[in-house]
Amino acid sequence: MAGSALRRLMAEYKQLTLDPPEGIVAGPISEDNFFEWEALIAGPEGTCFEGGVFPARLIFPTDYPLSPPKMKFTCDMFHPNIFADGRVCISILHAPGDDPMGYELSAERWSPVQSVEKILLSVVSMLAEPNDESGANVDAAIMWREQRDEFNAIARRLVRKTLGLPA
Amino acid sequence: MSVRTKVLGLVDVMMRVPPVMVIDEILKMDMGMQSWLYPDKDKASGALATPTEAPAVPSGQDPFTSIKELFSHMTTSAQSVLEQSIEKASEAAKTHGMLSSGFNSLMNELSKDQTLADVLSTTTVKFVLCVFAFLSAACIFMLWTRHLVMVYMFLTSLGLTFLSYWSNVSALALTERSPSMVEDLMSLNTTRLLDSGGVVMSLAPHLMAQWFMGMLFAYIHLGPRFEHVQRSMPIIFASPILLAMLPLPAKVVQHLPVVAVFTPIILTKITLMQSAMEASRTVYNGYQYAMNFVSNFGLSALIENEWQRLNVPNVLRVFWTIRLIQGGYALATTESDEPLDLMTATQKLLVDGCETMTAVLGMTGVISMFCHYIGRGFQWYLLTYDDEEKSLGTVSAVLFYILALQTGLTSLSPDKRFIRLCRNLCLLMTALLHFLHNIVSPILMSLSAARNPSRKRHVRALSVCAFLVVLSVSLLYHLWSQQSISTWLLAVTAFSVEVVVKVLVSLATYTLFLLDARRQFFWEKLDDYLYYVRAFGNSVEFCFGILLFINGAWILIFESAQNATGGGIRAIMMCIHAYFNIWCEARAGWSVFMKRRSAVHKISALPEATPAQLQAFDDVCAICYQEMYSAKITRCRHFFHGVCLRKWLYVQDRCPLCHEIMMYTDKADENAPEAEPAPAAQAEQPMRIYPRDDANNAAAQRRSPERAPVEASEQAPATSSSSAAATIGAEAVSAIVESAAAVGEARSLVSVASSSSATHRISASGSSDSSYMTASAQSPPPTATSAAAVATAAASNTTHMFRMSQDQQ
Repeated sequence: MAGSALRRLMAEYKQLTLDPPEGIVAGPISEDNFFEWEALIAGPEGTCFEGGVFPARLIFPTDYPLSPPKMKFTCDMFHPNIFADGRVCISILHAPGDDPMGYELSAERWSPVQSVEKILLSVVSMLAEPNDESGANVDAAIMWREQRDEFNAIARRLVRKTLGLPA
Repeated sequence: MSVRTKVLGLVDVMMRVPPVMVIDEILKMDMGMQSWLYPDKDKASGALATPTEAPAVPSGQDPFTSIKELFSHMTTSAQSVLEQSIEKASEAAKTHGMLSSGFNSLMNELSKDQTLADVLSTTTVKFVLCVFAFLSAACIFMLWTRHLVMVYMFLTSLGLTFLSYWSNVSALALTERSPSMVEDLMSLNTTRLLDSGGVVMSLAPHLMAQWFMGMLFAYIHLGPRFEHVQRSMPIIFASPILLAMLPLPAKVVQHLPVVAVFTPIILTKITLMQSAMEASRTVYNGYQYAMNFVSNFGLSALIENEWQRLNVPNVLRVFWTIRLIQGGYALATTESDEPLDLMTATQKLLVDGCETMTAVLGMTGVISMFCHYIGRGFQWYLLTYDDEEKSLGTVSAVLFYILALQTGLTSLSPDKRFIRLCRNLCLLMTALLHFLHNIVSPILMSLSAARNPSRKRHVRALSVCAFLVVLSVSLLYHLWSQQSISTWLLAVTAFSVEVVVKVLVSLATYTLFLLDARRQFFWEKLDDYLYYVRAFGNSVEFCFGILLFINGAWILIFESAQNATGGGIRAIMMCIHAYFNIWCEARAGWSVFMKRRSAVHKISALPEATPAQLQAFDDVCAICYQEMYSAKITRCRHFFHGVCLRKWLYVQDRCPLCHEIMMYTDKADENAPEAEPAPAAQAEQPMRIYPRDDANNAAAQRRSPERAPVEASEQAPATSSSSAAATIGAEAVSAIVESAAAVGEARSLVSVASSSSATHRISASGSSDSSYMTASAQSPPPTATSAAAVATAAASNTTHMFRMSQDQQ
């Protein structure tokens, strides 16, 4: 089972290398461990995250692609759908099956035909358009809904922080 | 700073060891109830109690002698000072166990002169005293460090009082045999004063000791501190010796030590009265603190917090080590009687090392430390460092303690106890082999899946597996050749065979994965082989679990009748074993079997793709991204490897691409499109595209007029992607329709121009996705570009499949 997961991850890595999507760089941390990837995600243009480069980490299970990987931002993030410790809460990363809380349809959750590229594209989309109704970070969700200017200011501060610029 | 912290921690551990020793002594005396029935054991415990004093407390003999003399004085003269001294001694005996041992020995000795009724009464009194001492020692053990220091200061001042009394009595005994010093001074008899063997030279050390003890008492006592009393304390301590130099009557000299001790005893009594109030307040505060902790964080958090605060494992280890050293010292001193070889000495030390419950706890702490470092050593050898290491020592400790309890280790005779201890250690060793296998198995799996692992890591992991197998087999051979068959031997055999089977299963899995990595093409049989290997291993474990349950039942019924406590614990462990190792494992195994059977049945119902269809499909499996030399076609006409689809059917009963439920009506649906003429198929093409887009685009699905009533009943909010996609749903659908022809053309160009390599096919898929993104990005607003990309990327595979299906028709 780990062998087929390894083959699939190698194929995805090859595809990402040959045809990288815009604003995303991803690959395994080392060739000895293909089950742990790191990614750099550029903030989408026209949003408060524009100009930022946000590092993240993906950990793949040995039964991938039957189970989804876990994704976690390794920098400070303030976003309604990102937990305080950096874990990403997005439907494509949730295990298949109906959501017991009824927020998501089973068609939106993980499927073995999804890929790393689609995961990262979904995260970029999430940065551009947060979902404030299922908040992983309640403070960020409330601020994004009610005090958008302050939210934008915090986001720009984080962008400068990731670039190493003084706030 | 860290060195100072370590020193303070060590001091804290050392201060908590004496209460554990007190509890151990009380348990050794069987709570004072059987000491009359076994006088030899009482003497042995009395002898052992003597050298186990706390550093700050005088030896047990001195209070014993003092108390005895106090009793003898009481028979001659009934003075209030003596009564206060006796009361103080009784309270001291209640407070500290060491004095309790001496006190009980004294009462035991006195009771020999009385009748049986008095003996029974004495036994009851001793039992009550032992219970009180036990509880006091337990409370002292759980005190905060600050209170612990106060307790030790109190005990030290009390000990100094008794030591001073004893020293004064000894000094006065010397002066009785010689005339007074003053007469010699008057007559200028310098010869007798400077005689080296004279009384003056003998009294000088006592005088200096009294002065030192007085100063120390003034420094550390906890009573009220008056200036003049503080300064005169050394003089008070030394006053009997000074007054003895005067030509006083012998009767007056006899009472000088008692008078001198009066002031320290008054101060100590005041301290005790104040401490009684403070002690009750401390106990109440501790109770309140515990209740608050339980209500806020839970009972387990309280236990864990206290475990760390009291440093229980280290205290137990130090206690057991001191106990072992004391036993070794006792053996060395008695070695002159007969020469003992090393084996017998070790055996005796181990037997004494698990004599009481506290001793078993101490041995448990030592064993957990050993197992912890064994685990660390193996992890170092295997070049892996996990946080799993913590559980190895802890689990070993819990296992050893449970084994000791359910076999009744503390209540056996020494010979049987040694045999039982060896057997328990054998069981613990087999359990340790299981833990080592749990360490090495994940490493084997990760090594077989790694791309370019170093050969050294392979060799190390394989050598550990060989070590486990060889050790288990040699242990079995040794035991079966020497021991007669018994329930314990069956248990050890089952555990050892389980270790061997587990290691072989891990090695077989590792070999299969290595072979799979060597092959270039997809290996469909791999999953079946892995299932067979793992099923074999799990079946063997399940059978041995049942065998162990029957073994335990036999022991419970026929061998543990005499030991009620051990039987009860064994019954509880058997229930836990039956539930977790037999029932849960059986249910899980059956569930996996049924899932696999159902998945295989569903896969068999799907049609197999013909070579012509595969050649026309000309794509990789969407699940594993590898070439398809054989494939299954779903009802929605998607191609997958049979093995890949079967694995997915374990998780969900839907098509991975379009999420349609896979039913058994595939053939009936297949015949319908074929029967229709070509123009009708072309006319139905837009309708076929639209429903599938609904399945992938939830927002568009909600906005369609057909599902309006369903949408009204749905209260669940949509995700941000769907919300963003809703604004461009119609545009996305039209863009997809318009681009379908373009993608078709691109596919035909690629299939004509390029070769059949996997690289080109993956590139083709990527280029198709790119063209879709480019086409879709032109019409929607800029803020929704990424959302549109996600939607179209998800739909691109569907369009691929639909297009190929259309071409096939």
